Amino acid sequence: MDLERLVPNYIKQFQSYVASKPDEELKRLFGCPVLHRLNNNENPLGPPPAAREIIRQFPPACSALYPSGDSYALRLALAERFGKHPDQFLVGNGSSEVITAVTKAFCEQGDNIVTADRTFAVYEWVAEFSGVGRRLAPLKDYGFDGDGLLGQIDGKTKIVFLCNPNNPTGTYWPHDQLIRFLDRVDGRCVVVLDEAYMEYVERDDASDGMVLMDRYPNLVVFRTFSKIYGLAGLRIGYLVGSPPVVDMIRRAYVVYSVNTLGQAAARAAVEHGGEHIQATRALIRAGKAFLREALSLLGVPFLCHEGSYVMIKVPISDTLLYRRLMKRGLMIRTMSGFRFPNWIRVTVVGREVLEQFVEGLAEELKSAP
Amino acid sequence: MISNFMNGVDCRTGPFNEHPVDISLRVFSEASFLPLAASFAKCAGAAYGFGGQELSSLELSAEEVFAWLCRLLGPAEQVEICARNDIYRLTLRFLFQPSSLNLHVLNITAKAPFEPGEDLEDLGLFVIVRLVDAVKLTSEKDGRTCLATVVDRRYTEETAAISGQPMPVKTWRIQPADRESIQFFAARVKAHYPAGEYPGFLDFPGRAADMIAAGDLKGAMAVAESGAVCGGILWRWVSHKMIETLGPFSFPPTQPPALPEALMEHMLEWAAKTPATGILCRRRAGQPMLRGFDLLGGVCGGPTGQPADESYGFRQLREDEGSAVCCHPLLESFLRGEYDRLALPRELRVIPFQGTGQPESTVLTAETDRGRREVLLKGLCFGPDAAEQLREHLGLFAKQDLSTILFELDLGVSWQSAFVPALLETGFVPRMILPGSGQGDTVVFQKA
Repeated sequence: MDLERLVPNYIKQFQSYVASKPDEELKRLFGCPVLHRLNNNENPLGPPPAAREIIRQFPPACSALYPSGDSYALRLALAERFGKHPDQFLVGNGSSEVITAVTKAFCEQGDNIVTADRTFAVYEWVAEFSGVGRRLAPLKDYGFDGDGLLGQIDGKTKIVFLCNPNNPTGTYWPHDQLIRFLDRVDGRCVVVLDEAYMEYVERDDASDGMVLMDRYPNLVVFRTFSKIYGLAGLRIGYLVGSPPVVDMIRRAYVVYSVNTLGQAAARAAVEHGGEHIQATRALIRAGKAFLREALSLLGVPFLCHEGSYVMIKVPISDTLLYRRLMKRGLMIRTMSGFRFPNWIRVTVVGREVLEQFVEGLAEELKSAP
Repeated sequence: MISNFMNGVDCRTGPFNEHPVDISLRVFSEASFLPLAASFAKCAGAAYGFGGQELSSLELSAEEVFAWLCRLLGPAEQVEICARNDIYRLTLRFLFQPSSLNLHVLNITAKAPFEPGEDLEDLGLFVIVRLVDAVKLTSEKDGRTCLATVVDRRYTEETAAISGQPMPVKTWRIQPADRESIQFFAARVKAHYPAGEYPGFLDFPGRAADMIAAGDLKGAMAVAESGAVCGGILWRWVSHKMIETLGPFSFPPTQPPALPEALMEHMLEWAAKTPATGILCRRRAGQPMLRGFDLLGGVCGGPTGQPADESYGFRQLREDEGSAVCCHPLLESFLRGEYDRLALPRELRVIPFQGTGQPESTVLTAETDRGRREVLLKGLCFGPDAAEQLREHLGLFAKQDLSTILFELDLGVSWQSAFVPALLETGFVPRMILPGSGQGDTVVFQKA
C-alpha cells in the first residue's frame, strides 16, 4: 500500500496526540504509590449528587440499547435551563467533537480559522488535520487581543475561536469587551465562544454568550460537563447557537455519539447541580487563596485568574520538573507545548494535595541547578 | 548524535517535506555508464553554480562510487543517482538494491572484488571519504541502500569581526533571521566570542546566509531600538525528532540575562508545534550548560589528539511518561545510574543476547564529518564478527586521521544490545544517553 500517495500532506505532517498512560502504569514507571492528577483541570469533588445517583442506579440492560441519537431529553433540560429552543443545542462526545463539527460545517480547504497563539490547542489541531489554515494572533498581557484577532481575519476566515476564560492563562473578556469585538466582526464569520470554564467565573462584569447570541446570530457558545460538573469520564460537551447556524453544524455531526449514561447524568447535573457548583466554586476560591500566598512566598511568577487552574513560571525546565514531581506522585501539565516554555499549569484541588504540591515544588526548586 | 548530515530529513521545515530541487539519473551498474555517471555529477554541480574544486570532487567521487557499485552489483542492476542542491552544499545520493549481495560488503571497510595488480587499499568504499566532505550509508524505507556523499561549496570571504562595543540594551524585539541579518550577526558573534564557542559556518558569511536561504538553518535576532542586532539564536534539525540550538549569543555577552532567555524562549515556542521531542546543545569545555538543559554527558576529541571535552545538554519538549528500553547486562549499571540522574522513568528489559538467527556478518554504517574529524557508527546488522569489524573500522579511521570515533546504539531495537560486549572489548566506553533520539533512547559510545 502506497501510504505516501494515499495520505494527504496535512495528515502526514500532523503529529498525533499521545494520550496519557493509565494511572497504574504511571505509578509503576515513576515508582510512586499514589498519583494526584493536577494536570487536566478535573473537579476534585466529582459529579453532583444527583448525577452520582443516576450513575449508581444505571440499569445494565440499558447498555444493550442505543442512546437517544440527538440527546433529546438533555437538550430539553438545557433549553429549560437557559430559556432557549432545544434545537439550538447540539450535544457531542466532549467539546472536541463539537469543535470538529463546527470546523467541518464551515471550512473547506483554503479557508482558515483565527484564534490566539496560546490557547486551548484543539482548535488548531482540528483545523490542521482537516486541511484548514490557521491564523494566530499573539496573546497580549496573557489575554486574547481583539485588535490582533481582527487583524488576522481575511476573506477566507470562517471561524474565530475565543476561549473565555482562556485556557491556560485564565484571562477573560468582560461583557463590554466582547460586545465591542462582536460589533467589529460584524457578522463576517462565525465567532465561537468556548465557555468551558465560565461556570467558575464569579465576577460581575463576566460576559455570558448565552445571552449575547440573541443579538449576534453568528455567535456559537461551547460548554462542557467535564469541568465544574465533574463528568469528564462520560465525555459530554455541547454547543448553542442561532437555529440556522446550528442547523448547518448538525449536518457535519455524527449522531449517537453520546452514551445513554452520559446523557442521563448530564441532565441530572443541569437540573440539580446548583449546590454542587457553589461547593466547587468555594473549593477553588480557597485553593487559589492558598496558592497565591504560597507561590508568592516561593517567589515564582504565577497567573491566578479565572478557571480552575493556576499557571506558574518555574526557573527550571518544565519537562524536567514534570518528571521530578511525578516521582512524588504529583502530575502537573507542562506548558512548553502551549508555547509557554518553563511554565506549568496546576489544577486547583483540595488543600491537602495543594500543600503536598507546594512542598514538592519548593524542594525541587531548591535542589535545581 | 548530533550530525551535520541530514539524510532523510528535509531540514527546510522538518520531516516529511518534498525536496523541490532533486534531479536524478537512472542507469545500469555497467562500467560503460561510468562516464555518464561522472559527468551527471559534474553537470549537476555546474548547473547549481558550483565551481572548480567542488566540481572536481563531485566528478571524482561519483566515478569512484559508481565504479565500486559496478564491482558489487550485477550488470542488470539499477542505480539511481540523485543530486540535491542545498545551495551551500551538494549531495549525491546513490540508491541501489543490495538484496542479492552479502550485506557485509556495505561496510565502509569492505573491499570490492578486484583485478590483479590493483591496490586493495584504494578499492574500498572508504577511498571516497578522502574526496568529499561527508559520507553516509543508510537503508531506505523502500528497501534500497543509499550511499550519500556531500561536497560543500567553498566560501573564500571570511566574516570580518565588527569593531566597536555595542551598548547594553533594556528593550529589544525579536525577529526571524534572514540572509542579510545573519551576516551582520556572524560578524558580531566573531567579535565577541572565541572560536570554538560558535559554529564554524559563521566564519563565512556567505555560507551562513546560504544555509538560512536553504532552510537548513533557522534563527532569530534580537534587535535594539536603535536597529542594532544585540543578540541572536540559531537552530537546526539534527534528526526527525531533535533540534540543535546554536546559542543564544548576546552582544556584548554581558547583556542582561533576560535577553538570552527571551531568545531561548522564542526558539522553544517555535519548536513547541513541531514534531521535535527535544532540543540538544553542545558546549565547549569551560562553557556553562544552558539554563533549563540537563547535562547528558560529553565526548573527548580535538585536532591535536588532546582531550577537548564537549558537553551535551538536552531539554525535553514533551512530558515523558516513561517507556521500556532494551538493555544488555553489561550496560545495566550505566543505564540505571544515568536514568536515575536524569529522572527519566525507564523500565530496563535486560536481554542477554541469544545469538540465534543472526546474520553471518556485521554491517556498520559510518557517517564521517571531516571538518570535525569525527565518525559516527551505527549497527545495521549484528553478526558474530562484530568485534572484528569494529577493529577493522578503527584501523581505517586511524589511517584517515579521524580522531573522534562514536557509536550510537538504539535501546529501542532489541538486537542492537548484542553489540555491547564487542564495543567494550574494542575500547568503546558509554558516554551519554540521548533520550528519544532513535526508536527508543540511544546510547553514545566513544572509542577511548
